Amino acid sequence: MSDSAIKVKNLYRYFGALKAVDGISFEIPHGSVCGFVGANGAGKTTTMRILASLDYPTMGSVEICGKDVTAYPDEIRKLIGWMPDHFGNYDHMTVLEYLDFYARALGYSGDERRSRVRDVMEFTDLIPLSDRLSNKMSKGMTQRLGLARSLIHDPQVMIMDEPAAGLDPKARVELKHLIRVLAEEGKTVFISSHILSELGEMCDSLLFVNNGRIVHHGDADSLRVGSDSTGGFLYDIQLIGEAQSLSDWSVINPNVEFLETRKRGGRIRIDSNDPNVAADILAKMVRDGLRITEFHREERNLEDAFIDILGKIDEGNPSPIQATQTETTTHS
Amino acid sequence: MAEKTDTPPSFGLRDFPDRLSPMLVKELRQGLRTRTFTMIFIALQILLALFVLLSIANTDNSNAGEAISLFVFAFFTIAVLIVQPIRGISAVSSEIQEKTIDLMVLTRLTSWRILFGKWASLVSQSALLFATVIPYLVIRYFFGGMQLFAELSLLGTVFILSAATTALFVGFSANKSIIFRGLIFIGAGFLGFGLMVAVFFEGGFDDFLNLYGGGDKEELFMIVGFLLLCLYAGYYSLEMGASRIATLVESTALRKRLIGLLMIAGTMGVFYYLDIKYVGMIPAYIISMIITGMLAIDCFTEEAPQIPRVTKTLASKGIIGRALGIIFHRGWHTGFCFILVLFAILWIVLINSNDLNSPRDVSNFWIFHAGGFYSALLPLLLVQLFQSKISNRFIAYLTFLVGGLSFAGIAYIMTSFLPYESVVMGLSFLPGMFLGMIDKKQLEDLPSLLMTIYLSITVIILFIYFFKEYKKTLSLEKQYINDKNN
Repeated sequence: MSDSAIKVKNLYRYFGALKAVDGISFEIPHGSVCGFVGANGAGKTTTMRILASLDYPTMGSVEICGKDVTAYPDEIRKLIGWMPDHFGNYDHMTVLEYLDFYARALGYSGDERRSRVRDVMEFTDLIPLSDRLSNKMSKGMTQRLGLARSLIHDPQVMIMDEPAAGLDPKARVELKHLIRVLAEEGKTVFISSHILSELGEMCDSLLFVNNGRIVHHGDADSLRVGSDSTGGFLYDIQLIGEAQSLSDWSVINPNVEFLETRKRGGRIRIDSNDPNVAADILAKMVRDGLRITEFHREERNLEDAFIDILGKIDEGNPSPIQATQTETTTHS
Repeated sequence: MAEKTDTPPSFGLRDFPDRLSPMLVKELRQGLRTRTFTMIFIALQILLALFVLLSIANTDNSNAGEAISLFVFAFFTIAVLIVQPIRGISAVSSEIQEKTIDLMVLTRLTSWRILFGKWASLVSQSALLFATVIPYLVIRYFFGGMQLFAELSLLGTVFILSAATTALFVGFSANKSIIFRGLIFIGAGFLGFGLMVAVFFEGGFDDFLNLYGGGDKEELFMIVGFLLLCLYAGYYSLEMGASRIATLVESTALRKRLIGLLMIAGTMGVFYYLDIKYVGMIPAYIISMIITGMLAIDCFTEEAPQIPRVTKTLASKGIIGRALGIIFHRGWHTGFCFILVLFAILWIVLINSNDLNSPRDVSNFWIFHAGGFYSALLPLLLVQLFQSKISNRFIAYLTFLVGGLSFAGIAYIMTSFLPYESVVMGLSFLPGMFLGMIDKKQLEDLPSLLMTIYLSITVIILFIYFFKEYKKTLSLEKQYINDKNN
């Protein structure tokens, strides 16, 4: 078996003059959940459709579990479960009939067909809705039905395009739970969404895409603790006494910048990512007579991180991934 | 998959056997529950029962039996020849709009199985309606004067025409353009209405019954031939629809083109061996030209292969397979070569058929032959010239074709007001204009020469496009063979 569940190398997809995907490369290991983030028109759906063998690349290669998507599309379809951002349900067809149709279409017959349908309905908790007409369901139930459909053939890799779009909070929590369960069962999940906070909670890694190019690939935690747009790290400090004392103290300490006063303290910025530097600063504060009750590093939310990354690109500083991509393209 | 509950082991559906096509099962489950079908079914039963009861009450009327027949046929025809086919008009387009087509092509369903399943479901429902009118015909038998074989044959004919028309609508429903589907709907509506008027109000019903009851062999042969051609047109419509939704992996060009070739060979063979008096091979040639025209629309509008796997069928058959790829690989470019092969075959058959008795005949048929192919090839050339601006080859090709033919029609009308030669010669480059140039002695050999020039120029330019595209196909073939060997 290949090391990576998904391997994309120098992928390009042009529609006439439009560069929908502009030379992206990434790998996703087996059994991980990867979030695919980008604005509308960034190239997410096109990339996902190529991964699902529904479209073809202008250039570059895509492998799913070691199999090339364009060379072996039939095999790829057995390996992947595809859940698009929107799909219609059929009139005059119950939930059970809907799943029974797809099980038949995937080539299952007799008891195996019934057993597979039952298993996915149990997994997505659709058994009580068996006789409900599939086009008369809520968005959340429809997404569960879509998930059930994409799981009938027990695929190794799930490709989900905006599955949480339009869901209410309860349905989102349920979907998130199901995705985590799938990951625990060893499936690789490649999921796109606009709701970054949720992706952060369920994904092992995040891929940021902008104008058809990958601008970041890493885990969510590294983004949360990452530097702000100026390269600094933010700390929230609470103390007994006047917040002004913290502001005054920072004036005489050049590697600390006081940003704002808060209810029982303030917010400072430290240039270094080194925990020893933070520890030294805390020790100095205490030595200098500040009565510190809380000192902790602020985590950025992922939306801020995404905006920061886009901001850096707009300023003309390519992200490390972009720089690598440009280099790879030049060499190839 | 996690979390088992107390679902009974018998859980699941057993309403349709596994051997039935999944598409047919799906469409039947949906179709039999639609309001349209239920209403047709109930209305047909109520109306027929009422009419038969009224006829029984009025036994003095000597024409009661014939009236029942006419009534049964009229309602059955409306139901299966108009309403049922119309139900297929959005069969595939709705799947495209709702993106369910993507979900289907990721299963083992091929584009052909999707189209065929949708068609088979509608035809099965028509068959159900067919079965329900039989009891009324049995009752009608007791009124006397019934031509049993003729009436059943006519009912069968209507059913076959219904199957072909349904295929036409289902096939064309694979086009997203609502305007295009609307035009097909209007065209078929006019045709159906005209047919209904001719059959039920202009005495055509009796003529048909007489034909089936005591028509001569040649007339029956023509009817059977017509029905076969209708069925082929239905099959072709489904194949063309399947091409519109076919994934990049699929290639049905070999099958479609071979069946088309077999239809032409069969037509030629039947006419040659039956050697029907007075008609010779000309009708066979005309039918073959119609089949070729249909094939051309499909061939010229197919997307060329983009991935190596599409070349699999022929690339894996060695040097012969690869050579046959020039006319049988998927794509407009090989379709162009295939149509040129048919052009040559049909002309060879025609000039060797002893039906062309004079140089004048040869000249006229050459105008028809070359003009017909030129009319099909010119829109292809325009599609190639503007390909960067075209998103839907099929619609673009048909627009150029129909546009050209319409201009030719207008030009022909102009000949009533303006000097004939100047209009016809000046606009002879329009597709279809050649029809106005046949057997015009005053024009001498000019039309024949013009058609030869137009066709030659078009073919030469298209060959340039062909070589460009075929080079890509050859590299895909090579890539497929390399992948296979590795």
